[in-house]
Amino acid sequence: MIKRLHLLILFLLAFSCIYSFELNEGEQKLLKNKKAFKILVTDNNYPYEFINYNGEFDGINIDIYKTLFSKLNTKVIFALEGENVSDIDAVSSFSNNQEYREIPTTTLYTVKFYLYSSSSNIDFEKTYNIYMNNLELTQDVLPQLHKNNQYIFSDIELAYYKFKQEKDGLLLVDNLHMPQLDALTKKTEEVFAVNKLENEIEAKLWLKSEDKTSYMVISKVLNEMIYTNEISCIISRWEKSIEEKYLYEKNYSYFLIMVITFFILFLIIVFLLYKQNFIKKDLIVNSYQIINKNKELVVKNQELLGIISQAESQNLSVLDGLSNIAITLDLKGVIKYVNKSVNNILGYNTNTILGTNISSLVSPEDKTRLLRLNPDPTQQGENEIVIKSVEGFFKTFIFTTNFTKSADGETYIHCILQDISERISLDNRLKAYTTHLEDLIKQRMQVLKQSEEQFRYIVEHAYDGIILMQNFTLQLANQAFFQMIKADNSDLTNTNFSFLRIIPDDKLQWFMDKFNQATDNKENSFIITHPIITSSKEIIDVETHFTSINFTGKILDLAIMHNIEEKKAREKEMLEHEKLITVSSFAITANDKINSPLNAIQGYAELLDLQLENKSEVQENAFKNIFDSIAIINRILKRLKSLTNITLKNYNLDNHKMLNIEEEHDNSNSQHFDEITD
Amino acid sequence: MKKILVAEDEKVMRYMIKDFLENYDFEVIQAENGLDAYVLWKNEKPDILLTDINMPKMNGIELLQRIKNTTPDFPVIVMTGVNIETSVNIANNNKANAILEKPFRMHDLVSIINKHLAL
Repeated sequence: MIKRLHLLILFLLAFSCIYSFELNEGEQKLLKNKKAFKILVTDNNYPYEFINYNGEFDGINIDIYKTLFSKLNTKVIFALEGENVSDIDAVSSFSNNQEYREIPTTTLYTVKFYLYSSSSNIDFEKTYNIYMNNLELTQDVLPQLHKNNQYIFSDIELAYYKFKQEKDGLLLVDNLHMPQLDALTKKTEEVFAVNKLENEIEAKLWLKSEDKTSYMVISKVLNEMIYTNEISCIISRWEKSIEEKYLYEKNYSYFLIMVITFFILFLIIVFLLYKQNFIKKDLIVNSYQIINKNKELVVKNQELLGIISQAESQNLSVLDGLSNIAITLDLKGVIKYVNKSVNNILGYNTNTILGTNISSLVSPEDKTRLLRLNPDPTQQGENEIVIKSVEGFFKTFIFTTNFTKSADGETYIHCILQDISERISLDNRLKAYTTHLEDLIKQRMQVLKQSEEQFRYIVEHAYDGIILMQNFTLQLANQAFFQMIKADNSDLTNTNFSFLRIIPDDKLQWFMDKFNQATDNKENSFIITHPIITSSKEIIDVETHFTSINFTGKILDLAIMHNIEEKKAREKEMLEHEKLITVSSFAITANDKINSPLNAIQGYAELLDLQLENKSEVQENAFKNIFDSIAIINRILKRLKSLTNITLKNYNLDNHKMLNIEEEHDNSNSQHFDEITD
Repeated sequence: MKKILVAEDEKVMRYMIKDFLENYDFEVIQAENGLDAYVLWKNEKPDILLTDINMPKMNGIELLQRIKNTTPDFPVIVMTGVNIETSVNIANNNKANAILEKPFRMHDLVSIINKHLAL
């Protein structure tokens, strides 16, 4: 019974579907355009129409229709003139160049206009830029506005934005466009703070073309409909009439019936099928659900195991990557785990020491420390142990421990051992280096002390006078200085002895000029050769080397005074010696040049003496004196030949000296020499 | 007549020696430097040379060395005025036959010449 019913329902459903698709083309078009509306008026008047200069209809006021379209949110199809629409005429005059037909009416309609201004008062004597959307209307709307106003005509949106940008403008809007203006201001979310001037005029429905301007005809009905917002009602009414005429035909009604029938049958089939297989399906479904749940559990379990193993491997890799030794012990000290660092640090293979007791690596005391459950970290050295490496070296570690208890109740000790052998070695080296530095400082201090003592000895035993003074006031002076100025040490050290006191009065200004000149030139060290006057009023020349030094925070002058009297004496001796050398050279030269003429004189004297016979006494004396003189000269020349024998003797005029080239015992010859020179 | 070559740069000394020795019947030929003296010694074949030490072009010591190198037995008398010790040593080392220190007595010179010429 149920199966038959199913078959019947299915048959009906298929039949209804086939029938429903058998719509003709016109019907499909109607369906397709079912949301299209027509604008109609109740009487035979037109909506807004314009007449051009030739008296022909020319277009429509499209702004009004735009408003309509925006209100209806749909497209508009205008019925053609003459189309037979019962009781309602279609909108005509949308084709251009139609002949103007006068539609007699004298009815006046009141149209509201709103004038917006950004200022509080509108000065009607002033010229404005007036933005508007309907030029023909507005010029008659506000005749009181200035005639020279600039009327800027555009659609409402553009007019609004231009008005908004201008400081002192007017916006003239008929109330037909007010909703559009409101939408614009809401859209921009701005407070349109302007003054609104409301005015009313009487608009003629149509104007005769006398001045060839455009005419405006406002359909009464449309006008009313627009202002009363009735247009949507009219259209709704019209739409209903269309549906009655075209859409409530058999095709559409059958289709709906079939759809509803199909739906009911479908529900019945589903209900029957459900009832018939409910128990079996329920069991199977339950089994499947259990199996699926188990499967899900298994999958989840596997996922969890994977996550756990991944976490374990990550932990192991972290432990193996540690630079410290991680080791796990049981309470007996058996090594349960050790990371790979044990190989790097101690050299042990992890596999070989796993399972061994820690006591094979550490001393019993250290083992006790490791296994202590309550370590005292404050006690010095309690967290340090020593472990022997594979090579036999002992390495020191510091360790931290924590404890875990496994499921079977076993307690494990986890130790982290940090190798501090290098640090200890470094500490020891640092200590040794510190000791070395301290020794070095001691040695240097000793050397410094020795140097100071040597310096003091040198100062005390120097032949030069060494003085330390501040602003020429003596602070310190050595013994040599006191000897130089022939003063007693105790006489000066207890008083503010000025260095300038030992400068002779007539040289004091000269000395100060020299000293100041050197200090002005920022010479840190300079020498002045100057005289000093001793306590015994003796004046001696000294050469003083002045050096500015910083001594215990004070700027002092160190003066090293050198007696140059001896030096001057030696220089004088040297000069005398050089003079002697010069004289000797001269003597040698003279000797060489005198010898030969002298020899010639002697030779010729001998020749004359030889040739003259029977000489007179005078002649005899003359020859004798010649030979004696030659002998004296010869002797002098011989003395001059030997440099070592040349000495000086005083010349009886000032301090001059002369060569002592005569032998003191040779009185006879000198007498002859004197005679000759005379 | 024995021929004596006198080498002396001082003209007055050279003429005095010439005048004095000619008085003793010697033939005297003169040279004012060592080089001229050496040329005359080679060309004129004198019997003895009397030479000063300090002379231009060639000094007396070099002249002595050159002559003694070729004719060691040729008698040479050297006269010197300065650095007598040095001069004597050098002259002795170069086998000078006699050394006279200026100023000397001409009679002494004649005696020495006669001695070496074995007159």
